Amino acid sequence: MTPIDWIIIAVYMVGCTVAGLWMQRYVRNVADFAVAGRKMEVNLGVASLAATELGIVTVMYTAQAGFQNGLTGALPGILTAAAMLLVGITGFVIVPLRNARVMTIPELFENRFGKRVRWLAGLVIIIGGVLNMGVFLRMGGDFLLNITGMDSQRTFLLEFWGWQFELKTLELVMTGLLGIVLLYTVLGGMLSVLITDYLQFLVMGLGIVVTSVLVVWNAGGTGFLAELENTHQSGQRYQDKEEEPRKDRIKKEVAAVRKSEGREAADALRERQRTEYGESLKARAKELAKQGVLVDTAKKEKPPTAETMKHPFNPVKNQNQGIPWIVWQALTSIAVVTTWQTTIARVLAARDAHTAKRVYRGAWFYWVGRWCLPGLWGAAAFCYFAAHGGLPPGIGSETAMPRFLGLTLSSTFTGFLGLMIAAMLAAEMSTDSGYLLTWATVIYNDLIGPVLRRPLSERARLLTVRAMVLAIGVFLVFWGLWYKIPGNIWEYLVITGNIYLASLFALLVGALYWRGANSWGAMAAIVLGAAGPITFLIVNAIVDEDSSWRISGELGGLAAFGLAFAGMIVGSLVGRATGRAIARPIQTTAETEETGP
Amino acid sequence: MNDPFAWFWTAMIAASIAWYSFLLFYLGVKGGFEIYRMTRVFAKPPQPPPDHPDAQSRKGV
Repeated sequence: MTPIDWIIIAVYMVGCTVAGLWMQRYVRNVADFAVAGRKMEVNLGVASLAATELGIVTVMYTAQAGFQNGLTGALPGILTAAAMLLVGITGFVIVPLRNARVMTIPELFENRFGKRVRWLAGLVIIIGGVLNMGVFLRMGGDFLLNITGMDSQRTFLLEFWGWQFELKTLELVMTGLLGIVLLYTVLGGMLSVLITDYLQFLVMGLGIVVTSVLVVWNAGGTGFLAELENTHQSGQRYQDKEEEPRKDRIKKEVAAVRKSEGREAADALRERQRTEYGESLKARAKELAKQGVLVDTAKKEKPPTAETMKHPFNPVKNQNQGIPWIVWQALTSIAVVTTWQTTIARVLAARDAHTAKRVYRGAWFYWVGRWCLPGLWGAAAFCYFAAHGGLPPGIGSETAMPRFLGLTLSSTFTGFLGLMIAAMLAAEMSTDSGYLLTWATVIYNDLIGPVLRRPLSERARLLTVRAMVLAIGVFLVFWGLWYKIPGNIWEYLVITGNIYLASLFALLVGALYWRGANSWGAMAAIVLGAAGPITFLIVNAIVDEDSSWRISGELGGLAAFGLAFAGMIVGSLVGRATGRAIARPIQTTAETEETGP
Repeated sequence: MNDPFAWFWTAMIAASIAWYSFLLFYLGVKGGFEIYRMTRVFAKPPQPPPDHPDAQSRKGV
C-alpha cells in the first residue's frame, strides 16, 4: 500500500463519518429516525437502495457464484432485476404498502390480522434477518485481508480497565469499522444512512466500474469467452473421467462395509477415503490446474476438495443450477423485492407511492450489474489461477476473487488499491448501517411496541430504537466474527432469508389481494413458511455430506413457498369456518382521502 | 464462440458497466440536489398540527 492509497481511504472514512454525524441534528422523533420523516426523493432513494443492497458480502457471494458457475452465476441478478422492473411498473405490493403509511411490514399485519400476527411476523423477520446479516462482517474482513495480503493470524493484545483481549487482525479491523457505522447510525438513523449511502454509492460505483474495466482488459476482452469455455470443458472431462467414477466406487465400498461391519466402520472408511483423496489433490494441484481443476484448501478442518467450473453460459446445462433451481430463484426474487425489509424500508421512506414505484424503475438494472460484474471477477479469478498453477494455500472459492484482484490489479496504477478498499469499505458500511437500522426498527416497532401497556414518550421511543441498533451491533461482533458458514455463502443467505421471505410474501399477498385471508391463515403461513428452511438448516447440519437424506437448497426453498401459501389458504378457510379469525380491511391514505371529511 | 448465451452475458456485462458509469454521474448530481432540499426541509422548525392554536393564528395572519 502506498501513501496515496492510505490518503484515499482516510479521506473517504473521515468524509463519510462527518457527514453521518452531521445529520443527527435533524432527528426529532422516531419517524425522522426510522424513515427520514418520509421526505426521501427518487434519486436519493435509488442511490441509497443500491448502496444498501451491495455490501462486501454481496461482492463475495456473487464472485463465488462466478467462480463456480462462470457468467451464468449471475442469473439471480437477472431474475431480481426483472422482478424489480415488474413491481416498479405494476406497483404490485409496494403501492398498497406505502399507502398504508406503516413503518414496517408487520405493522400492516396488525391492521389486517391483529396484534398476535404482527408480533409473530416481527419475530420471524428478526430471526431470519439478523441470522442473515450475521455473516456480513466475516465476509467483509476476509475480502479486505485477502486483497491487501494482510496477515490474518497476527494478533493484537488490548487492555481495558484491567481486562485483556487478544484480537486477530480480522476481528480488530471489522470491529473498528462496525464501531464507526454504529456511531452515525445510532445518532442519525435513516437520515445519516441516506447521506452516507449517497457518498458510499459514489465511491463504490467508481471502484466497481474501474475494477470491471481492468478485469475485462486483463482477461483479453471477448477472448475471455473462449477461455471460459475451455476451462469448463477440461474441468468437465476431469469430472467425468476421475471424480464421478471415484464417487461411485466409494459409495459402493461404503455401502458394503456398512452392511458387513456397521455404520461406524462405514463412516470411518468414508472419512479415510476423503482425507487420502484430499492429500492426493494437494500433491497434484499444479498438474490439475492445467486440466481446469483447482484445489480448495480454505477449510483447515476439512480435507482439500476439487473445484471445477460448471457450464459458464447456460443455466439449464449448469450442474449447480437447472430448472427447479431457476424456479426457486425466480420466486425468491419476487419475494425479495416485495418483502425484504431493507428494500421495503426505501418504499416506506418514499414521499408517496408514485415515488416508490419510480425508485424501483430507476434501480432495476442495477441488480444486473450487482451480480454480473463481481461474477465476472470471480470467473476471471478461476481462469487466472487455472493458468497460474492453482489456488494459493488457504484460498478457496470464497476468497479466490479478492486474492486475484490483489495479485493482478494492485500494480495497475498508484491508488488502485486505495480506491478498491475505499469502495469495498463503502459497500460494507452502507449495508451494515441500512440493515442495523431496519432490524432495530422492526424490533422496536413490532416486538417491543405491541406488548407495552402504555405508549412510550417520543424521547423514550427514540432511545429504545437507538439501544436496539447498538444491541444488534454487539450481537454482530460476536456471532459474525466467530461463526463460520458451512457451505456456499449465497445458499446460506437465501435459506436464512427464506425463513421469513416465503411466509411474509404469502402473508403480504394474502393481506393485500385476498379478501378471504384472515389471522388463522396468517399464523399458519408464518409457521409453515419458516418450517421449510429451518428443517433444511437442521437436517443438513446433522446428516453427512454424501447422505441421501440431505435436502437440496431448491427443495428447501420451494417447499417454504409452497407450505406458506398452503398455510395461508387452508388456515384462512378453517378460520372462516370457526368464525373466530380476525380479518379487517387495511386503511390506506388513498381511502382516507376519498372518504374523509 | 457461437453460444448465444455467451453473447447474452457479454451484453449484460457491457450494459452494466455503461449503466453504472451513467448512474454515477446522474445520481451524483441529482442526489446531491435532493440532499440539499431535504436538509432545508428538516432545518425548518416543526409545523404544528392544523388544529393547534399556533397554526390557527398563522392562518389568520
